[in-house]
Amino acid sequence: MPRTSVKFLLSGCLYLLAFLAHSAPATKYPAKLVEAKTVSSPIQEQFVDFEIVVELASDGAQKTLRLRGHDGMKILLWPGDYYSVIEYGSDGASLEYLSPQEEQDLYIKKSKKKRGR
Amino acid sequence: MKYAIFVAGLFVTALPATVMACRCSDPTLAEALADSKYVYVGTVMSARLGKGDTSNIESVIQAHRIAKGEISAGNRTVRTGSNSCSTPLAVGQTYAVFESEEGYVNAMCTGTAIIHRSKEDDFIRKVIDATNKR
Repeated sequence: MPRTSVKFLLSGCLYLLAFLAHSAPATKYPAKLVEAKTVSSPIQEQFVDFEIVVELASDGAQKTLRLRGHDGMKILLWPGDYYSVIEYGSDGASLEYLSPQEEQDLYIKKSKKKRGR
Repeated sequence: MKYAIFVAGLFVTALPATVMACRCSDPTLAEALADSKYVYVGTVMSARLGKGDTSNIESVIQAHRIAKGEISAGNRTVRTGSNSCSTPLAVGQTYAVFESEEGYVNAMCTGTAIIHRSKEDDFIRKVIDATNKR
């Protein structure tokens, strides 16, 4: 195999690895939306990004994350509601509504915690 | 049969108040206007839970078209609730806003609702017409 083809193959693999590392969801967890604010996107004015603060359902810790315009506008951002947070590399994230099963699990966990106190 | 009705009755009365949905009907434009001091079209720029009181949400709305009230376009900080009878405002969405004298906005049973850009002119015109008739 010629040397240039090997180089192309290697660089292609590296790009693929970098792409997968960037795009693969790192974590997914339920959290309560505490705060959300619009941040104008530097790329295109019509796409507004969102900076959100979420409170993890597991331990109550707070995290500040950023939603891209597409992710932020496809869902109604209501502080106080629980969402499924899909966190990507750096501070990027997207939100999804909890499924009925996830909501039920969360409710059971919360009521157990309250009883335990 | 009587036993079944009794059990059903017990179940209904045992439901916590928060589970029961709020019953209200959408007000007419005249009613919504009567209950609000300011009416405008605005985009919700941010919202956050009140410290200590998670049922109270503070939202910042960028008002860009004023239909009623002596206010100028710009950011307005309002309170919204989050309970069975009150829906908070969704951040990033544009609303037709009916704000009370106390700075309270509720997107449920008050006329406040998400509005599409194509409907804004119609909404402003209707509010101005209704205000002038009163």
